[in-house]
Amino acid sequence: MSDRLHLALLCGAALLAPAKDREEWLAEWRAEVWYVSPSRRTRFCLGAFRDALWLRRHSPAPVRRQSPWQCLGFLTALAAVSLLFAFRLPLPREMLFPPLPAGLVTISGIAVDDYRQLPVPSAAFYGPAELRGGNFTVSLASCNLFDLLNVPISSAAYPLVMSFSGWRNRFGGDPHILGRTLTVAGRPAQVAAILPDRDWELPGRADAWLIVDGRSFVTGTRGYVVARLNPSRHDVAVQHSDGSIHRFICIPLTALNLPFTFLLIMGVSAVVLPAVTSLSLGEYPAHHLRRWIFLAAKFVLVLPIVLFGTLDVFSLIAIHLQPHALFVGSVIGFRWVLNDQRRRCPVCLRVLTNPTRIGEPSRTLLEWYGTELLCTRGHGLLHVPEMRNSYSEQRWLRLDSSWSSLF
Amino acid sequence: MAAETKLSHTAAMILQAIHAGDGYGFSVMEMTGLPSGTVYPAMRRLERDELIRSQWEKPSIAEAELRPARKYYKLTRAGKVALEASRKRYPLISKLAPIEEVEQA
Repeated sequence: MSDRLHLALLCGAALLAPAKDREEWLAEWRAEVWYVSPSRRTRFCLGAFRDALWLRRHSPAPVRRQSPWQCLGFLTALAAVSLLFAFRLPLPREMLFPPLPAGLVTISGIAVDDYRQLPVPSAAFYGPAELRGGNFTVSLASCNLFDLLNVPISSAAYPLVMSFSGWRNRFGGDPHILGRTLTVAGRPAQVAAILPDRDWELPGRADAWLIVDGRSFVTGTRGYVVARLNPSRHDVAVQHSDGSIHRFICIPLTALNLPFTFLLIMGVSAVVLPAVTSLSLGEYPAHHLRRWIFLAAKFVLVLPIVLFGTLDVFSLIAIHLQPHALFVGSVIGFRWVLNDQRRRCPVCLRVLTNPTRIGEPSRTLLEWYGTELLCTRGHGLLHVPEMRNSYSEQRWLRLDSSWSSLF
Repeated sequence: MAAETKLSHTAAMILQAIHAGDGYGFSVMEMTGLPSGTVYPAMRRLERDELIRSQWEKPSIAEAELRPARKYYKLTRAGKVALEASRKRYPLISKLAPIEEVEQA
């Protein structure tokens, strides 16, 4: 490995060191690495990460975000950035505002003759997934199906529209598939579009739809209809020439209400929160309304950060992991809110500093053992026991004005 | 604080190495055989506990020897007391002695 890479390793490790010590820390490691034989340098440089982490852990807490306004400002900025990206990136935007036209319904198991007599101005028919090539299934669809679904397709003699999963599983997500000519049922068909991976599915479970003229469906073929109907109607009737009436149940083709689903996932993560952190905020006077407003504001800001942040990041790296990431992100976010609240002064809401270990670990059960934190404005001391139990909780010791000369 | 009672074997070895050797990080590594990820954090902890202190050598000395300037560590008075106590507790650390410096290949 070259000297440049070793230097990059050291510079990477230096980012972990506190900013005020970084320059001297890096100078020392750069000087030391000069003495190490080239074959041992990589291992030597990896040790720098442990050293930098040690230095960070044992440095005084950074002063930034100590004030509640700075904390809220930082969270607001983060929420705004994640929201901005959610509107700018195509996939999160589509998930939040699905482009599916309103008022579409599907009818299953309808014969093509009944489809032709439907008293509906806009309706499209597609057959069952009957053309098979290995485990790839294709169904025939009338030419107006994708106009109704608002999916643009390029013009071709026999256009083929693939489902997202079909394109990914059968063609490995080949980005150059559009325009390629494939043989479907002995007939050449050109790939004209790929149905985006949306949260609604056409019934029938076809991997692709070959667009044909609506008149070419054989009489008696049963399939599916997509139609534009008044959403309040639950069925549609077809009157046959012999006077009989056949009713078909209409199922709305609606997108899943993703914001609601995501909020539900976040609600579940709030339920499991007691398993990962204590819900207790310690022994504080309950009348500090400002403190509760601050806590609520943090929760309100963390929600969009986690929601939009997860949508943004996982739409770029692994879209199918979004719900899982949202759950984990919510748990981490809520846990941070509670932990942050616990380590703030209940009076001025600034982060408590100067942690000091009190007592001895060997006497945990006999004497008080834990950490004491201090409000730099002299409002009081926070006692955090090392082991929380029913008789030893986080306790706030208020300092009166006689202590003010020390601060 | 009774510093001598808190010294681990590793910390005692590092104190002995600083005392017996050239007193910079890599020489301590060479003498003790400990990896860099152990030696440097331990030296920072010893410096924080005021058992050792550090000082950069003059650039002119390093330039004359065509090498980068070293950060030297020395035992403080408390460090010497702690080392003396550790030698009684870990008698073998007195046998730690400097080895020949590995030159730049």
